[in-house]
Amino acid sequence: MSFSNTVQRRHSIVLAGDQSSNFSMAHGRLFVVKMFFVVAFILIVARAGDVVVLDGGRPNVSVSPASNAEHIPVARGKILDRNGVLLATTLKTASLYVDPFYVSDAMATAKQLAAIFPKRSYGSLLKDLQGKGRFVWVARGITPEQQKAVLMIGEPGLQFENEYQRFYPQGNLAPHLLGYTNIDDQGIAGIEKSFEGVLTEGEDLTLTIDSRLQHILRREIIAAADRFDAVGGSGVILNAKTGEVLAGVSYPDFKPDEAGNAKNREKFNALTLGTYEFGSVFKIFSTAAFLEHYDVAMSTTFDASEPLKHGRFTIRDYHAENRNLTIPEVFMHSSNIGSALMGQAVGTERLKASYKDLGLLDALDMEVPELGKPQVPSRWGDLTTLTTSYGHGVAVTPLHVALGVATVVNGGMVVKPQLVKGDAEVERSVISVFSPKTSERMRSLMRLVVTDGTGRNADVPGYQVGGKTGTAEKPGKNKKGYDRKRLISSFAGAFPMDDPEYVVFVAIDEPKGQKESYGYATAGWVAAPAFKAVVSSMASVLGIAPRDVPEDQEISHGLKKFVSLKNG
Amino acid sequence: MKRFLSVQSILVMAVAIVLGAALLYTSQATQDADGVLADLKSNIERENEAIALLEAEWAYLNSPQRLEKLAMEYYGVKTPSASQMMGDMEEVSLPFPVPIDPQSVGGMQAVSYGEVQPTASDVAPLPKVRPVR
Repeated sequence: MSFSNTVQRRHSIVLAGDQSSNFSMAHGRLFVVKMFFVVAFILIVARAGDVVVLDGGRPNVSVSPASNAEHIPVARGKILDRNGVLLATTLKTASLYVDPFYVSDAMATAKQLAAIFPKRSYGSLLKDLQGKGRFVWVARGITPEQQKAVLMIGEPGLQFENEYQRFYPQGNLAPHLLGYTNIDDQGIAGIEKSFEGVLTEGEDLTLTIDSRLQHILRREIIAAADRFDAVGGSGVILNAKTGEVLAGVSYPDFKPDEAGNAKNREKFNALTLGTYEFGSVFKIFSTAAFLEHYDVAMSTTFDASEPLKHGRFTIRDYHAENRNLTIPEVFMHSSNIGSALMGQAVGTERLKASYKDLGLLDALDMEVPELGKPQVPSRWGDLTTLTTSYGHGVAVTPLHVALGVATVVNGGMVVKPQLVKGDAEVERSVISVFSPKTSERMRSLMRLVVTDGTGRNADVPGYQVGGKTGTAEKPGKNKKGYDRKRLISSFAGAFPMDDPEYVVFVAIDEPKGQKESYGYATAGWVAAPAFKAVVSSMASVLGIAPRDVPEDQEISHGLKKFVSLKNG
Repeated sequence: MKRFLSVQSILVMAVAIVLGAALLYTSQATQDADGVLADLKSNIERENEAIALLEAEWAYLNSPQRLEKLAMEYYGVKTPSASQMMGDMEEVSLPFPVPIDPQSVGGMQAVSYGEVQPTASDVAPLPKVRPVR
């Protein structure tokens, strides 16, 4: 109370009464305010001490996560197959760099690093370690074991940075469709390239590929290529009704993780970029066009008794029958003469229009960037009509053929290739190229090829497979004529033929005749067995039960009366 | 007689002090929660990275190429072919099929195969022969 006494004493002379009490009250209030500031100051000092001394080590957490989030790039999205199997993913890996400024013992460190990273030589490492700069990459995307070993060296100049790295767990399963990325995580081929935008935003992509079917197709194509000493092969499995690509193979192939070391030959996408003249498999399309325009009986005959001459050009049959052939006979014996005559009957304009409707004359409209444009003669004369009827003169990609076959066998509805699976069920196409009747006749013809014709090696009992063989000579190396030694043997087929679900196409590039095939390298010996093996394995993976159809109920049965089986 | 401090002032000050204390408490609590949040976020990120790594490893270890090779090497199992496919359980011919209990396995027909009774062991039997390389 001494304070209030002083106040009273100091002012007692001047003031008294009400005024004095007012004055002392004002002083009292000032005192309260003063005390408030003193206490506040003490609190601030205490808090400052708390922040600096007690809490100083902790970063300002309310700010850091938000600001970090802007700097850390989003990990590139995954690529999955239709069943959710991982095809491509991004992992955080450590990358090692050196700051030569801090390196204490360059020579010893270089020696130890060379032991950890076999790909780097002692000399090149030493050069990096004693340089003048402040930043040199030593190794990018190293394994945790390597990182541990580097930490054990204890060299302060060696530092790590976390980087994202693309990883393809399935190896060389589907490198041409998936594509690959460069070291800076940018897609430079395949799906990785065409979907760079969504993938870099961290969105996952689901493909229509089924990795199990992809494996089966790849295994059988490699097996066939090895067996016949071929330079390569390609193949595709399609959903016949929707055009979904269930498997797509181009061989030789590579591992996308090591795309940098792959040869151009391996990186080349023979499935959607390479164009080839496939020969007789084109008879599926020319015969369908003929049946679409001429509603004639299957007993209609074509004169294949002697080679067909057009100017200086002569069309011969490989499996020459030298007689009049009915439509089923033309197809099952793969008569070039018969098919050429069918093409002639259809006429240049209408045949061209049919090919155009089937998509055989235009580049594919598809999700990968590597798309080959079909090679079509600039001047399409009558001779071109004859030759394209049996598959020479127009070069298309393997996928073109498979899509065309799907359209022919599924009731005549155009299918578009699909590689990326959307959320919704794929809607059936409503654009019709051929009538259901033409489609059914074609299916019975294709079944006949397998039961009695050139494709007997493709039959899988219980699965009603049908198809067409195609053995084409590749263009000569001097770009003149054809090379009889270099073939492309292919088989385009579908199953089950009464209502096809799957289209399978297999092409083997430059097979050589083997003892077991009696020296033949034709499609019936090379591609048909590969097709058979693919379908046979597919059945168990997809769980399709075999269905025994009595011979007289086979879709091809009605055609047999038009076939003279004197040659077996 | 006027008071040294009016009731009003005291009330206002009391409210101010209470509010100040509450504010301090809230800001401290927020900072703590921020800290917890940051920890959780970095944990989640670590977990996600671990998951991505494990997924990649799972996909690699289960890749059809690898499984096929291992199955052939250690069990001598070949890839099934269409000729082994049966449309109907009845077609399967096995030595001495004796139905044990039709309702035992979710309505599926359980059959015993003579002497080779499946054991209740969790461990798969080891192959009797060494893999042929």
